[in-house]
Amino acid sequence: MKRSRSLVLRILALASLISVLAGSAAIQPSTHAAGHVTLTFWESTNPQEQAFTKPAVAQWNKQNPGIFIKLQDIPAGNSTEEVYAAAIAAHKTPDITNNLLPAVVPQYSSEGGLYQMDKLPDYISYMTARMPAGTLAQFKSSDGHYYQVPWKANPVMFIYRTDLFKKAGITSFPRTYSQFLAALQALKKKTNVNPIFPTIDTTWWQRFFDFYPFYLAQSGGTMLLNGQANSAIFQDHGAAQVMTFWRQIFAQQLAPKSSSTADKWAVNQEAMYLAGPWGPNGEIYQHKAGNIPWGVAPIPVPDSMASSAPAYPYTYSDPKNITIFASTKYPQQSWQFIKYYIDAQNDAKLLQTTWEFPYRKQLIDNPVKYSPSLFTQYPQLEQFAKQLPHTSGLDNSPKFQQVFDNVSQAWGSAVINGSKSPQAAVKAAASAVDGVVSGGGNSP
Amino acid sequence: MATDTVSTVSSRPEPAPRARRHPAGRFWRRNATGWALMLPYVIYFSLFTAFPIGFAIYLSFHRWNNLFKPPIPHGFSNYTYLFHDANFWNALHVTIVFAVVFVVVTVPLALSLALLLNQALPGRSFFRVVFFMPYITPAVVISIVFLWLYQTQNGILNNILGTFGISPVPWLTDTAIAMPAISLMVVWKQAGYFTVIFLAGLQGIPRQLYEAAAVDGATPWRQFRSITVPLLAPAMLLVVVFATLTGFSIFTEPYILTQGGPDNATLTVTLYIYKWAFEYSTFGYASALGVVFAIIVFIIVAIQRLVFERDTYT
Amino acid sequence: MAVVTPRAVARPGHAIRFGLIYVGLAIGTVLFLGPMIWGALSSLKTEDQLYTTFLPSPFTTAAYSDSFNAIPNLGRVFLNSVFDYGIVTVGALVFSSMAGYALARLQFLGRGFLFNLVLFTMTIPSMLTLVPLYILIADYFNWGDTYQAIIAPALVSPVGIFLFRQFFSTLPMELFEAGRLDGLSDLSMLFRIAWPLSRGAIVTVAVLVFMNGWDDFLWPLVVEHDQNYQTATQAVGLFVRGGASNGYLTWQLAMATVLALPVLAIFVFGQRYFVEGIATTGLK
Repeated sequence: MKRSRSLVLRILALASLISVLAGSAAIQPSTHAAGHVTLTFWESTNPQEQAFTKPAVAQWNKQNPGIFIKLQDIPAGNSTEEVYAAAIAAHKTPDITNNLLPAVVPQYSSEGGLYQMDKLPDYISYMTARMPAGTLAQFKSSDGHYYQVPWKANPVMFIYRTDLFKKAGITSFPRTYSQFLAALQALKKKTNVNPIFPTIDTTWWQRFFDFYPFYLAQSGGTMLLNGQANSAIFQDHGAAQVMTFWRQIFAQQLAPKSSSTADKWAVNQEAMYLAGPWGPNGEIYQHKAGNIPWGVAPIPVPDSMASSAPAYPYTYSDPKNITIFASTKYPQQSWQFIKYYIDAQNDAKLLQTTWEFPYRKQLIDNPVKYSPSLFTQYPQLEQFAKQLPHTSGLDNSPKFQQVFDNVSQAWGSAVINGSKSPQAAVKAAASAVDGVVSGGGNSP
Repeated sequence: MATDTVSTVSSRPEPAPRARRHPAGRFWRRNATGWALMLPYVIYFSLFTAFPIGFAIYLSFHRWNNLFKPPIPHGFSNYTYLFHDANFWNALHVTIVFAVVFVVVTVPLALSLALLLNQALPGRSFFRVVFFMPYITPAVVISIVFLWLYQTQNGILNNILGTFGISPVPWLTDTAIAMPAISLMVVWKQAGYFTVIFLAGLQGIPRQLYEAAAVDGATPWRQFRSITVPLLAPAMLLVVVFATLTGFSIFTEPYILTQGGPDNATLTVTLYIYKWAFEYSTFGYASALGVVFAIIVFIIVAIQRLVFERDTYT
Repeated sequence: MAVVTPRAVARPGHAIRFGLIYVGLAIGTVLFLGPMIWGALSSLKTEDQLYTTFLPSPFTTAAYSDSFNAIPNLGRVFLNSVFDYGIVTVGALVFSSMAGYALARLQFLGRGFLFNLVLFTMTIPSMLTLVPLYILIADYFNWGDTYQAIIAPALVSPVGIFLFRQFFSTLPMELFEAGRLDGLSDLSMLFRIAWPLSRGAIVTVAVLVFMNGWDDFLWPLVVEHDQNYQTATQAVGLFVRGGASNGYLTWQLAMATVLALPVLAIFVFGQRYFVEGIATTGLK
């Protein structure tokens, strides 16, 4: 009896020792010294954006000893959105971050994960003074409050090889689908570079750079869901038409059906690609492709819209915003820093360093005047500035990721694999999306 | 008793302890030690197995998309949705086909390798290690190596096939080929483990049986059929069950190689559950998926045990 | 244990048969080792040579230095894996051998039930418990981004219990009777008598547990997001999938090589015990 009781005690001691060892091994980093506020800032890992953020934060820390900004990379994950969602769920959010997709705001704010910005007395006045007229309102949440700080937009357009186009005898960038196909065919025949090398990955956000801009261009800016974001409307706004067109591109082997590894533009593997202004910026500064001549052009529209389409058909705005997480203990100080981070000087630096377009009134109204050196050195960038007023974002739905997943599936089967007809694929996607966003009794 | 070389599942208990002073305390003394030693497992099981299973079942009847609010009762709706969820049935189909192909290819392969290795050859242990290496290598590593091997345009595999005049095979980008390609990779990784189990089983068969059969004029094939196969049944069951469980639970390989593509051709149930739980934050439905999936796996394993243990439960 | 002895009967074509077997084994070796060796070699190439040559020419370690730069926390991340799974292995050895010993050598109420429970636990698909376990650990215990999130759920290994139980059943009873006569408690008998004789089982369970832990990708992916707490496997997997490798396969192969080395090293050193351990304990 004595033997087994002491045995039990020894086992419990052993067990607690091990778990205490394991638990106490968790290192809690100390946050701040007395009288000193430290704010954690998760910054995006885009190298050019970091080239902007790091000096800006360093200067702030030097000039504001009372508020220290601790910079951290956003942790690696499948997508930034997953990382944010996990952080919110695990109560491990930072104070500030700068890679927020506006589309996730409904989901995070409904979880109470984001700070309500209009509680700050000068939020609305400051933002209205900064942004082009009327643009702040599109970032208001359905409950009438603001949970994000609109920061920048990157209209998605075509970046293309002006020299190869000349070689192929194409005088101006195609404006309609048949012109586009003809251009691709000419490029394929007359150059030995892939006319276009789109991704065949069906991850949801890849559609931002093929399907979605084309869809918006021909829908005139109408997005995938209706106004209340509870029903799919893309099936009635030309989604199948876009997919039929792209299916032809793959079927005629104008695009290779393979996944490529590294950068394609810098190694002469593609004659055009879809991206925001960060695209050519990255090619020049990171991939050392500075001597490859490039131009920028808007998205083509279906032939039937040739005469009615504007000079700059709608495209995806690829916006990224800044936000304060609700877990913060220092919202005032966080906002103080953010006001600095997006002030006139830093907005100009952002444009200069990353070529991404801050939501700044003067920039949109007159880009060349705003940043003469940049736009004289790279006049192609003016195209982005002209495109910016004609952009749409994403539907205001907490399920937008699932919506895009379904659209991506349709894309995969209709466009890349050709196993389903575009009409059937779009129809299936629309009914799946309806099942998800309708919020009806059965949806999970 | 103690000289048995191969123990059976239900081994005989040790004789009772000798002291008999306090009848009541005897019960405690007899059992306390055993219970005390089992305590860590019992705590582990309760906390990390039993509770989660119960919680999963509970959650499957709720809607829970927001961890900051309590789960909302949802009745059987998750299960009704699941029944109509084409993506789930597709994922189940992908998973079952993978598991079947995996077991059907791995078991004979492992058995053949074990038969090869069962000969008395010098350097046998070297080969044993060689075949075992992929098993010991992390799945992430193997996935990266095969990601490179399987490249369509310039991959080594296609280069080699090209020298035989075969045009490039779209290993990971064709809906019909992607999952078999992943199966091939997982077979390669796991075969060594099952080879070792078979090898041990083969070595447990007394040599005299073969010699007696040879004296009676039995051909090697007849010997294999009548001696090896029946006596390998316990090892066979172990291998088939483990291989099935492995086949059903792969996650890393499709995640790294194809992320479930192309066009959901490699979307296993595990990936699908991960998606609902951690990309869509829909924990109620993800739990329902887990429950249904677990039930299916249990049924399959139970059937396998019936088939194989039929003969050994004499 | 039956030992395989060479067949005494000399048959015609004996040498041919052996030759064929060796050819088969050689082909098997190329197939089983080839991809990994080639992959490791390729990590020393420049990107354009990836698909064209077998040997790198010239050798360059650029892939290694570039990827080390791309993953700033690499050293920390490897330490995390070693720390996490080291503790898990020790815990699994201790606790599993305790349970295995009890199941093999002691009689107590519920023993059969508990053994069946252990077998049952081994067959539960992990996806069933993934979501609730995540909520328990990351939400209720608030252990997201900590070491215990990985260590605690793995401290007991049902497979380890099974293997120890099988092995301990084969130990001769006389040893334990002698120990009991000397007045040793069961715990002492476990650690002082059974363990020294169980090198094969211990190494087997240790290697299995450590290897399965090191290999684990899904669970750290789910509970660890802070880069200070990620595991090596998780970091390398995310390196490939998360875009930090810029699509450079040489970088990815370099990281894969670095990731594989620790387990391979452990295995090569312990393989004699390990492979025999699987053999002796893997059967019913």
